[in-house]
Amino acid sequence: MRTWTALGILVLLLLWSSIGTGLAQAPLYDLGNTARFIAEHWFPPDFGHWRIALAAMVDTLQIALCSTLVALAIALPASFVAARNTGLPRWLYDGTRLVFNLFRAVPELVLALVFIPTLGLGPLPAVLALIIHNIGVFGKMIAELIEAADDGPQEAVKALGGTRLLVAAYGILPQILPLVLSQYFYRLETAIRTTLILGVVGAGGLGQLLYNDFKQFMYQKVTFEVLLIMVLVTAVDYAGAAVRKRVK
Amino acid sequence: MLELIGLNKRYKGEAEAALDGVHLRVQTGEFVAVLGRSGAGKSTLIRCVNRLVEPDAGRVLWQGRDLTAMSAAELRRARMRIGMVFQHYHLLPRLSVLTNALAGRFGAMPRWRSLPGWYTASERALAAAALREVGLEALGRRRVEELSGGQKQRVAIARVLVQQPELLLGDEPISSLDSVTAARIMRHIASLHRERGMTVLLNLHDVAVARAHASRIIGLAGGRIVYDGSPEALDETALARIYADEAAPDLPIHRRDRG
Repeated sequence: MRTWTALGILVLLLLWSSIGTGLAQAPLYDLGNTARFIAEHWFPPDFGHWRIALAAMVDTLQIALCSTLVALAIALPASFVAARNTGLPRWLYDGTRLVFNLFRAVPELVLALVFIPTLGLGPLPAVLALIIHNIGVFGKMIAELIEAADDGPQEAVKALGGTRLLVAAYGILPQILPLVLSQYFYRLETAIRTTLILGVVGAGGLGQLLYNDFKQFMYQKVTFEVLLIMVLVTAVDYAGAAVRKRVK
Repeated sequence: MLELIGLNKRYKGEAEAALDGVHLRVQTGEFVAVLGRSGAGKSTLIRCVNRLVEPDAGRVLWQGRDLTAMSAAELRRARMRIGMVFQHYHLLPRLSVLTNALAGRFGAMPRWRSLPGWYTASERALAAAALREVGLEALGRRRVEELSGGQKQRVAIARVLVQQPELLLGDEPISSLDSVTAARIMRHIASLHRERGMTVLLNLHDVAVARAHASRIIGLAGGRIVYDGSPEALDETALARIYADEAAPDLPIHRRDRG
């Protein structure tokens, strides 16, 4: 009986949200229009500006790489402070957790819009926005990995007369490293997609190029740019898989 | 000399005390085995010695110094001289056999060398000799995850050899091993006691193993010492006191141990 009630509630929620968003009415629209629009205007892709597009792709990768690496470098040591089992004072734990939560709560787009008026257009506002948001994401995630780490190696380092830093470096870090790397590549992929969105507000890279071409109705160029995005995301996914395979 | 004075420990949410006023004096050079049922307080007793578990009350004196009153830095220096082997080995994960043996020097090294793992030639030679002694010299580059349980415990023994402590604590060091491997590990521990003069305090499940190696046996039940004497004097009555099952008094657990 409870299962049916739960299922009923789920169906009601689905109906309510799909009517609200217009998805329920989608069959009433002529979706063939979209297919015709893509077929007629988006193909064949225009490769003519390949140099510009490739440079923009490199910019996008650099923004995503730089911001996630800096965020990881800051969040990794800070997350030891935000983990309950590292034995640091409670106020430090609470304070660091609060900072992580605040950083994570503000979307990158909002942060970028805050930085653009003072720092100007270009990749820097996007990089700063991504760093701040990702410190929050990495910090919380790594702190939870630290809390779930096996006590055994930590006890061993303590019993050998090791300092707190050694307990972290040898008792905890080797355990969580593969999971941190796995999360890093996931966040890198997410950062690439976010960088594309930030391009709309002037952060440079493929996102900005795509948005400018779209506004000028140069859809065939947009097709090539979308293809490049797919290549980039897939390449990052493969690179991540290769690194994860080595770091087990 | 190691002296435990009135040790008490009760874990949060537990009705019974894990340790209830334990007094124990271990002379330098003794080999003491602690026997008792699961939950008798054996692990807590061993872990209170090097303060991996903080006692609620009581003192631990080691070479005349109060370990329970030490600052964090003093305790780290004291732990350098107290080795420990664990039931589940507690090796450093994803690192090599050699690195794990070298970890025995952690407490003795300056921080700027221990953190990046910069070892001197003499420390490396010490670790190589330790691995040779436990028969693992050929596996130095292997990751510890690739080893069997017995090999892992031998790495832990090598770590103790590199640490060169004066007191060796053991928390069920052979409970996860088959009888042949367990006998080999016990021979290693006995040689640390005999040839290196280490004082040994370890808890065991196996009465026969304790009788074979220890010079003195401590029986714990309900967090209290109920037997303290020689292996020869450990008779049926003493075993019944140590292993008496309150829920089933007619079926003393020690009979299973002897079977």
